[in-house]
Amino acid sequence: MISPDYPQEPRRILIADDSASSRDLLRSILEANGYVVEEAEDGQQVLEIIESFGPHLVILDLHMPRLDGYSTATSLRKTAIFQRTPIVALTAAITQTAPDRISESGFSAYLVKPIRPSSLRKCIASLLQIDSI
Amino acid sequence: MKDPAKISPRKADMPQQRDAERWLAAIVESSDDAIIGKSLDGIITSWNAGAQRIFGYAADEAIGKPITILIPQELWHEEAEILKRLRKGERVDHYETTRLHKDGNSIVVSLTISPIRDSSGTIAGISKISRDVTEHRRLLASEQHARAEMLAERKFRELIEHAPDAILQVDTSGTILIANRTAELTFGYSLDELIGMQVDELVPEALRGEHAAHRKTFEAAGVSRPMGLGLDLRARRKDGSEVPVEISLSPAQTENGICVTAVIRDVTERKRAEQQIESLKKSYLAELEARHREAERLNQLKSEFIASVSHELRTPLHTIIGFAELLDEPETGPLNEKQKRFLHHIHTDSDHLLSLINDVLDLSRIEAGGLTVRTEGLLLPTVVSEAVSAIRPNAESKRISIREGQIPSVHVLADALRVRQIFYNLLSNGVKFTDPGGEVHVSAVQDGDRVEITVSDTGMGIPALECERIFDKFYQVGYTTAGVRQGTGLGLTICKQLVEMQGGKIWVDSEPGHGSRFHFTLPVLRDVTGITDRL
Repeated sequence: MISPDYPQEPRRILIADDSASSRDLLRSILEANGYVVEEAEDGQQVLEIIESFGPHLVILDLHMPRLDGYSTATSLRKTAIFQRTPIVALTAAITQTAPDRISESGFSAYLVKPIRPSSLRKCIASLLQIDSI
Repeated sequence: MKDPAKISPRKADMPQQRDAERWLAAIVESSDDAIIGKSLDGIITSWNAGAQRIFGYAADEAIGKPITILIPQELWHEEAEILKRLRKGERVDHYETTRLHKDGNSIVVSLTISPIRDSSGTIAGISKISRDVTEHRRLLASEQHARAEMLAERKFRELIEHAPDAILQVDTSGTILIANRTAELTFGYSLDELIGMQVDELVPEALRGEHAAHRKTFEAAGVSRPMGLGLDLRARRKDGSEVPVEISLSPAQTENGICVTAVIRDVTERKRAEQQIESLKKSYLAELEARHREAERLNQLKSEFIASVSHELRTPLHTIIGFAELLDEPETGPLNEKQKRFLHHIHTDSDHLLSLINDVLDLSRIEAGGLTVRTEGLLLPTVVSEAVSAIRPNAESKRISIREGQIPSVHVLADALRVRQIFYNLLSNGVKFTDPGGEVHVSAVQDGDRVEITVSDTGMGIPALECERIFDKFYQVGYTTAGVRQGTGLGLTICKQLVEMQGGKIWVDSEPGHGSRFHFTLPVLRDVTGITDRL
């Protein structure tokens, strides 16, 4: 077991992806590091459960039914308590205009699928550390 | 001065003979023709009234003179010829020639000349009968002239009649003097109607006033105006309809004073053809535009399709690769050797599939001009160590050591994503073509405003001839790749495009058995203030 990057309380991460296998993968990678993971199938579900779960970090797939990642991030940034919460975008293909749109929507970082466990861990560790400073 | 012996060689002592001589003399005297006697040496010996009338000389003026007084000097040789023939006893009949009147005018005469023999049969003189045919000839000539004129007139008329254009001749008052058959067809009036008609009636009513003024201007200037000139002219037909025409005008000095010859061409057919061409052109252009739009739409669709395919392919690949890596982690649980080997195959093949998808997507974007670089200041050592870390697991799994050499601490002006891609391509090529135990090495040197980055390996190397072509699309080094898993053949093509898009150059130096050294340059960002950390 890799030692967690937090001192006391386990960090909670909310992941949203319409692909069940992708959610399972993210959960498996993150749980191995001791994070507490909650899943949502789309942006709508994220908005429904996020306040009760109160994540330290959110991972949103950009392409989801009902409410996509961009809109979800935009909504979250309008909510006072999530204004500074790191939000990571997941995308299967990065287009020319995507980076601008990602940053305009309020994301803190983006990862392009396929996601390597090591790079996901690294990204999250750095975002949570930066956030905790 | 008479030479009696020569005029009357015979004795005229018998009364009957004298009567007969007087009789003959009266006949000679009464002839309309000139009857002239002359000696063999050309001296006039007798001269009748006819001769006096034709040549103007009285008998006493002519007799004793040489015949040459009647002959234009340029024809004297003719006389010599005639004399020669006569001496031989020949005659000359109805010989037409020119002679001179006393007043110097030329006369056309028809000559009949015969030798006169004495009782012994010897040629003693010459009788010359001249008929004045001047008038006859003049009549003949004028008849011929008239016929020629008539022919010319007919030819001219035919020319005018058969001209494909309407031809009008108009006098200064605007009255039509001449019209041809095509004018009948063009304007719908008969020739009888046209002749004597005011030309202005052939102009559309609205323009008549103007036309009269134009006519005056033209007559005053008196300069020909050629057809065309881009004027949009119309003529009015008898039935009131209008036809598009082209008109050329030229002034002509005639016996009726200055007239204007107008050649009028009905351009209805041509205009129709022009309109057809114009409308065809328009429809072709419209079609071309539609095709162009369709091509653009299809291109857009293609891009969307490729993006969508890429997205759809990467989504499942993402979990395949992710789970394969998780399975490999000791935390997941121990695997036996067979499981590890299988997992390795899943891993490498899904990685390969991923790079195929990426390369195809990138190249299609580059070719569609849809890929632009977004340059920013990037700290080179960071870029290099990130790239090296990314490839390290791959290298280590092949027991290839990957090392960073000297990297100057400069900011390069580049696109983070694309620079990573270039490094990834070059490093993974290095790993791919190097045997286990070998080494892949990255170093960089700054050279003024650019930095040259070198990725070298201890692999099999590339023959010199191949070094140029290695950056061509779909080109793969033939025999050297034997036994090496094939890529797309697009990696270096993409690298070259990406390097050039960022203002750099890429090249390779290599020789078989001594590894390869890929070099590429990137611009160095001098002023590092204002560089924002990327996401």
